[in-house]
Amino acid sequence: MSETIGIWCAAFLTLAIFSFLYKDNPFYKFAEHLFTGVSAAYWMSVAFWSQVHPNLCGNIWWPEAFVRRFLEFTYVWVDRVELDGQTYAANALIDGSLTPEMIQRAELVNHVHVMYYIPLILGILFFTRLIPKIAYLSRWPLAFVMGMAAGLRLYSFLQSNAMEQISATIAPLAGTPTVAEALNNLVVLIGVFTGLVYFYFSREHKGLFGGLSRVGVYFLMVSFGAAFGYTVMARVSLLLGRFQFLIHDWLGTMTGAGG
Amino acid sequence: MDLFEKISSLDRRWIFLVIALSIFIPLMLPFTQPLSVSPDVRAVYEALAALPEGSTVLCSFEYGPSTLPEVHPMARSVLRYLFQRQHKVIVMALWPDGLFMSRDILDEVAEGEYQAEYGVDYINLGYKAGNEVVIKSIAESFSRTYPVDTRGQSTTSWPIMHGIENLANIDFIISLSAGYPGTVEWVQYAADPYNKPMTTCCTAVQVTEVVPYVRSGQCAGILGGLAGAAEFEVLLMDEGWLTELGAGNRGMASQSVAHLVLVLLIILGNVAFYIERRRQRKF
Repeated sequence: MSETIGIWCAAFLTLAIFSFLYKDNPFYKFAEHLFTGVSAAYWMSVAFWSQVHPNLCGNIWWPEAFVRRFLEFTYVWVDRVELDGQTYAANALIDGSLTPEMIQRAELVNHVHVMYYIPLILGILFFTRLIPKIAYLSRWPLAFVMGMAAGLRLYSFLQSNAMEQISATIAPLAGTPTVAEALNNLVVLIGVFTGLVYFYFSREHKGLFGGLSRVGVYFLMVSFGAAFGYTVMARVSLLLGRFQFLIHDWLGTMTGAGG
Repeated sequence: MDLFEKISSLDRRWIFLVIALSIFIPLMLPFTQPLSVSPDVRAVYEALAALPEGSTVLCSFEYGPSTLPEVHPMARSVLRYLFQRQHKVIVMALWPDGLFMSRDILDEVAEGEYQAEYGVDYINLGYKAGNEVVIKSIAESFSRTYPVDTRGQSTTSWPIMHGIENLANIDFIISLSAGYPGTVEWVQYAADPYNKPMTTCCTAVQVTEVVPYVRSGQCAGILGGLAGAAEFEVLLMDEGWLTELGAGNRGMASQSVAHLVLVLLIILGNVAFYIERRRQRKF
């Protein structure tokens, strides 16, 4: 029954979004606002429960009385449970393998890592944007995020996107297994070279340089065309998916064939 | 108003209707389109076929409901093949929605079709926030990155994880990708630095972004979009791993008719545009 209701809701929202193709209307507005609101709440909830709750909260200090009081919520913060010389996994606290009396006697071992207070403080500093007088402090965590991301990505980009790609571009023209492969390598080489010429702006694009640049433009247009073609294919696939849902799942609930 | 003027000022809702019909009508007709298998799809199969039985394969789910029609058929075919070859499958998700996608597919394929045993034949580690940092983290340790699996049990307690300390113990990586983080990050943070073979099942939009890695050999083949899914199904059937074609092929007739209609509309629109421009120059 609940699945059928879900299918009907999904079908109504699908048709409400499709109705925009005719013209803007209250059904579309309703579906759009619902989607925005639910998405925001969903992402916030996922970020908290999958990241902040198990990772950050599980590595900073909490009063033991608080952890014991809200065990269903806090058991993931516990590293292990020690009782009568035996060690249990944290989920023993909620899966019924330990009685309430045993839990009372058990020692809840939690590893506190000082390092985790740094992201905690930086995270709190983000909220200083709400207080104009100290809003500048929110730049510190932002600087940390930018610096870390740049450092993390620099090496990978250099290896995967620069070195490996350059190496693949300078493929041999002679000695390849087939003529077609040699031609393919030649086309790649010309495409890369003329594409780079097009993006060289320190010299006016005239004469031979302008000609090479124009060839580069043609290569770029081919690549944009390929990207557009694939995008069309992707969007048609998504539309197809919605149609299949409406025909098989939704109409199926009415005829008894699907759902 | 002649025909070309009419085309130029056509209400775009007619185009929406034509596209909708071009998808709807073939969908209602019971036929599939004959397909030939492209070299990139064959490369994916050959990379997987080269793995000895019982290899450990890491499948990362990086897509959500919005791209389900494209990536789900590929995920289904790939997992069917992996379970038939008795490979050990470790599933994880770099997208929160990926967790639900992986559960859906594993329920259907692992438990429904192959009665694979959880914790022995496969495990679902679930979603972990952090994007590429998660990849770097599992390169050092699975148990520290994923202390518990989706069932809330210690990851190391399952037999499948015995001897799997980090990425070095993984034989092959499959990225089921619809964007960032996805295939590109797996190439950059796992395949290249740790010399791990990998392949990708990605959305059509991603193909032009990922193809350079395929051409350079950083990624073994590519299944791109619904067409990739359909070709892979055909290949698996030719090789005797599937008995019937799946969701990838069911949509290909609609896809092809819609593409044909779009190409015709583009040609018609351009012809009308040039004729009208020439007329305006005359006056």
